[in-house]
Amino acid sequence: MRILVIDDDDQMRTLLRQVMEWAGYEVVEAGDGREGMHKHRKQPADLVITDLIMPEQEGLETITSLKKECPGIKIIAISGGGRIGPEAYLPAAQELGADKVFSKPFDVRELAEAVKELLGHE
Amino acid sequence: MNGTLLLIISVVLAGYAVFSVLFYCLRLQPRLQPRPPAATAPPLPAGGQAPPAAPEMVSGLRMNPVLQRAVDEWQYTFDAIIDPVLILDSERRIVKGNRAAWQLLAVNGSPIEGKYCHQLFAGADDPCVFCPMQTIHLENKSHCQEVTHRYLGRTFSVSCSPLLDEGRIVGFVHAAKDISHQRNLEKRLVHAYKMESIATLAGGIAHDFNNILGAILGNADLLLYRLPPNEGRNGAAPLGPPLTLTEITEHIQAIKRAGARAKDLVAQILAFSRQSTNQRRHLLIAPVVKESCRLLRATLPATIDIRVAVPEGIGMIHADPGQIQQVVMHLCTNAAQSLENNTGVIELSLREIESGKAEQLRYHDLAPGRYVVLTIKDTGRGMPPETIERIFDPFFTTREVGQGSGMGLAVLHGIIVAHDGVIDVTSSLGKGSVFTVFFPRVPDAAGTDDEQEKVMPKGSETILFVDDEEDIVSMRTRMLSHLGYRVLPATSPEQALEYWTKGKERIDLLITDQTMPRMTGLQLAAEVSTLQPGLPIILCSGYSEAVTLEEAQEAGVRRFLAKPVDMRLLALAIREILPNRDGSEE
Repeated sequence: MRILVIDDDDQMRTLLRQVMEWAGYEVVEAGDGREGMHKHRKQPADLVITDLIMPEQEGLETITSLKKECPGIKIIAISGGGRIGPEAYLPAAQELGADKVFSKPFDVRELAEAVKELLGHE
Repeated sequence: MNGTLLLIISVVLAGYAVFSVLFYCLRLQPRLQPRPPAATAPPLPAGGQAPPAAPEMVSGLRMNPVLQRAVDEWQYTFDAIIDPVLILDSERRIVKGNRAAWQLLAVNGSPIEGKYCHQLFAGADDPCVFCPMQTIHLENKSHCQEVTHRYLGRTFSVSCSPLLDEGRIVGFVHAAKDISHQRNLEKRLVHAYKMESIATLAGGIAHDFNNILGAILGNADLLLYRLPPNEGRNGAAPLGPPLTLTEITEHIQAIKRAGARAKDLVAQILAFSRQSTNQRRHLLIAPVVKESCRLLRATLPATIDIRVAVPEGIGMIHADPGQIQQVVMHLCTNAAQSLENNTGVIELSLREIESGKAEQLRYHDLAPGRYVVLTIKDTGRGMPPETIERIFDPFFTTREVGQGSGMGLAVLHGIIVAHDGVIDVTSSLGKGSVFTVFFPRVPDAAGTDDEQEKVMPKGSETILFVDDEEDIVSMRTRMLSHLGYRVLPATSPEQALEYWTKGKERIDLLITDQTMPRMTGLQLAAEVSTLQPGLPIILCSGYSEAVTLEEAQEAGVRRFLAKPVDMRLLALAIREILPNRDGSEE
C-alpha cells in the first residue's frame, strides 16, 4: 500500500517516511500541497498524511481537492498550529474530510496504528 | 474726542502699571523678603491653597486705582495659567508663584516664597542633578526638558527661561506642565501592545517548536519502539525489521539537527525580547531590519514570500534598536494579516534620501534633511481612504473581535514620532498597501562640527570613560583626546574597576553610562567612590527618571547628562567639575 506524505518541514517529512516504512508501507514524499496533488495524480496513494500550514497550497485546500478527486481516499491531517494554535485548524480539517487528526508533536506508534486501522478497513 | 483721549491715557497708564509690576516682581522682589499671603486673595476653588493676593501696596506706598487695576489684572492672569509657574531668583529661590504653583507646592498653606525650587519639587537641600537651570547658566538661553520628581510622584514637562538684566541672569521663569497622566497612559499602552505582540509571536513560535519537538520525540520514539526488548526496554517485541547501526545514527543525527534548530529559534526569541524602552543610540538600521526578517520568516506562514532589499552603506539613525525592531515586526505582521489566504508578497526595503521640495509637499511633517527610509509593501487587500484616515488612532481596528485591539499602529506612530521620524501610508483596494517610515539620518561620528569644537573648553586631565557600546567609547575617546584629555576607555564596569585594582593610573574624572550589563553606572559610581573618595563622576543616561537625586548623590555623582550627550555640554560640564585644575579654556 502506498502512502503520500505531505509536509514542508524536511525533518518532519523524513520522520513520517521512516515511521511509515517501519510500519511496512511504500512512501511517496511531497513538500507542499501542489506537489502532493501532482504526485497523487501520477501515482494514486491509498492514504495521505498532510500537514496543514504549507507554502504554495495549504493542507485544508489539499484535503478539499483530494476528496473531490478521490472521495474514498483516507486522509490524516497533522498540524503544529500557527498564530491561533492547532486546535483551530484540525477540526476544520476533519470537517473537510480528514479521517483522523494529530497535533504535533505526536506519538509515532499511535500514528502508525491509526494508518493501519484506516487501511485495514479497506 | 474726549473718549479717545481718555482711552489713550488709560492705555499709557496700564502699560506703565504692567511695566512697573513686572519690574518690581522680576528685579526688586528678589532682594526683598518673601511676602506672606494677603487677606484679599482672588476667589479660590473649593479646597485650594491661597496664593498671595495682588500687591496693592509696595513698601507702604498706596497705588493709584489704575495702577492697582493693572496689578490685579496681571495677578489674575498669572493665576489663570493652569500649569504651575514660578518666578525664581538667580539662586533658585521662589520669588513668586501662581495659584497652580501654590496648589502643587504649598504644604499646609505655608508660603512657598523664599523657599528653594528643589526643596519643594524634590524635597532636597541641593539642586537636582538634572536641573535645567544648570544648562541655562551654561548656554544663556531657555531650556525645556522632561523631569520626573519622585518626591511629588509626578512627571513634568519643564520649560525654564532666564530673566536677563543687561545679559546677566537675575532669575528664572519656571513653568512645569504635569504630564504624569499622559506618561502613565503611554506606559500602559506600550505594555498592552507588548503583551499583544508576545501573544502573536507565541503562536508563530509554537508552530515551529511543535515541528521541532515532533522531530525530536518522533525519532526518539522510533528508536525506542524498534530497539529489541532485551536492550534495556521492556514490552512487546518490536515491529518490522531490526534496526541497523546506520539507522540508529540517522535517528540520533535527526534529533541533534532538531535540537540545533530549537537553539536558533531560542536565540531569535531572545533577540525579540531584548526590546527595551528608550535606549536610543547611533544605530545602523540595516542589521536590525535583517534580524527582524529572519524572525518573521520563522513566525509567519511559509506561504508568505518575504523579500528584502537592503543596499550596502545605509547610514546611521539615532534610535532604540528594540523599538525599531518593534516597528518592523508590527508593520510586517499587519501586512501579513492583510494577505488573502496567507498568500502573497511582503517587500521590505531601505534607502537614503535627501528631503527636497517634492518630498515636503507630499509628506507635510518632513523637515528638510537627509533620511533613512524604510518601506514595507504588501500585495494584500488594501484599505479604503476612510480607514487610512483613522489607521493611527488608538483602538481603531479592522480586525474581528479577539484578533487584536488595534493599538499597535497608534503605539508605532508614537515610537516613530519619538524618533523624530515620519510615517506615511498609501493603499489601493485589492492591490495592497505601502508604509513608508522616515528616520533622520545622523552624521557619521567622524563628521565633528568644527565650529562647535572651536568654542569647547579644553583640558589635560585623565578621564576614565565607560560605556558598554564600543562605538560610543571609541567616538568619545577620539573627541575627548582631541580636547587634550588623556582618556582611559572601558567597555564594561569590570574593565573600569581594573584601573583601580591594578592601581597604575591616576584618574581625575569618571564619565559613565548608566545602563550597562551586570552593573549600572550608579553601582559603578558607588564602588569607585569607595576606592577613590571624592572622585568627580558624570553619569550619562537615556532617561532621567531612572535615577533619583538621592541615589545619584549617594553614589557620588556630581553631574547628570541626558543621552544623547551633546559634546559641547559634556566639554563644559567637565570644566565645571574640574575648574581648579588645568582649566586651559579657549
